Amino acid sequence: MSGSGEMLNLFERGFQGLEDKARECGDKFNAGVHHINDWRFVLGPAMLAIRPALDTIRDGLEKLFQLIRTAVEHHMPVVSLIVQSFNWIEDVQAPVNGLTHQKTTTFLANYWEGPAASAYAERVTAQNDAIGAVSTKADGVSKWLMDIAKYNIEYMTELAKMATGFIGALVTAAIEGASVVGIPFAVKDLAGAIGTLVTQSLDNLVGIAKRFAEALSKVRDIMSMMTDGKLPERGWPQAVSG
Amino acid sequence: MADYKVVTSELRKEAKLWQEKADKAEPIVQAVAETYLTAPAFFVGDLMTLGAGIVNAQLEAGQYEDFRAFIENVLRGAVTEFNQIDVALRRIADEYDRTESVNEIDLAKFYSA
Repeated sequence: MSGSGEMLNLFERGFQGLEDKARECGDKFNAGVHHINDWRFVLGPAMLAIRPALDTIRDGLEKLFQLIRTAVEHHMPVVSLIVQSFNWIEDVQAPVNGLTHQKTTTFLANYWEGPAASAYAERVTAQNDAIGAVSTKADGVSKWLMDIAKYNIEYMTELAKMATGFIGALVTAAIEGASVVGIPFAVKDLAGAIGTLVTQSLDNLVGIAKRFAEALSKVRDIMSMMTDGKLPERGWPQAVSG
Repeated sequence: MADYKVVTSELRKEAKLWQEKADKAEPIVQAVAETYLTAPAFFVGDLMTLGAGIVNAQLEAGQYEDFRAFIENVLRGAVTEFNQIDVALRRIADEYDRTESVNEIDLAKFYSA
């Protein structure tokens, strides 16, 4: 099995129950809104203060839903990124190293001498150098992908925390069960709590996104690996021309 | 040009090693082909909503594909080359058996497909 298991587990943990949490948030909010609507005439002028507070909460929820939607859409593709970061090591680098020509495997050196033999030996060296070069590059691209994977995991951890925070705030406020007198305060408190959560979470998520972008931009190093004297003209060194 | 010695059976054994390398390199080419990644595979985050790093993300994800294709192409070249070395060594062995001499001009001939 591949070594990607542990990293995938960490990544998947962020997704566990994420959509359920979003649904729960939506249900709780809707229940609260229904409850308020049942009492709107009694609440009378208090509704003037309640409406903008509800808008704040709704905006916060919509942001959360949007972030979750994108994450779910990218879920499987990012899983493949994590898997591929390990495949570059396991299915590319390791077997490429196995191609290295061991001059001592045979006794050819003892049985073949002269200009033809040395011409061959030079070609073997060039082939081995190319094998080494490809191996190093496979390692480099794997490290780059793993770095990117790491920020994806951080992001999911933060997004899960944000969703849990939203549920916590909605449960604490319990608008759907508040008394008529309690409703305006509950809504105001909830709007405050959600506002703080959104600001903090987005701050953290933007920070992670920025670090991700920085890691991604190291693709420059990957691009520079495409020029290598050991791989002349971006190809394999020719031992036999043509 | 009498300054050489050779046991052609060893040369043929050596040729076989390159044949085996070519066979081993084939699945690696396939493995590299499978490391293809689409642009959405790079981040679960909503760069649009977060407004961070969206400028280059698409471009940079695309550059990964350039690199992947480069490695695939290089390794494809390796398979070809390994096969050609196998053939070249066997032809040299044949020539030794036939004439008991391989001179400079011949070398150029053997190391071209």
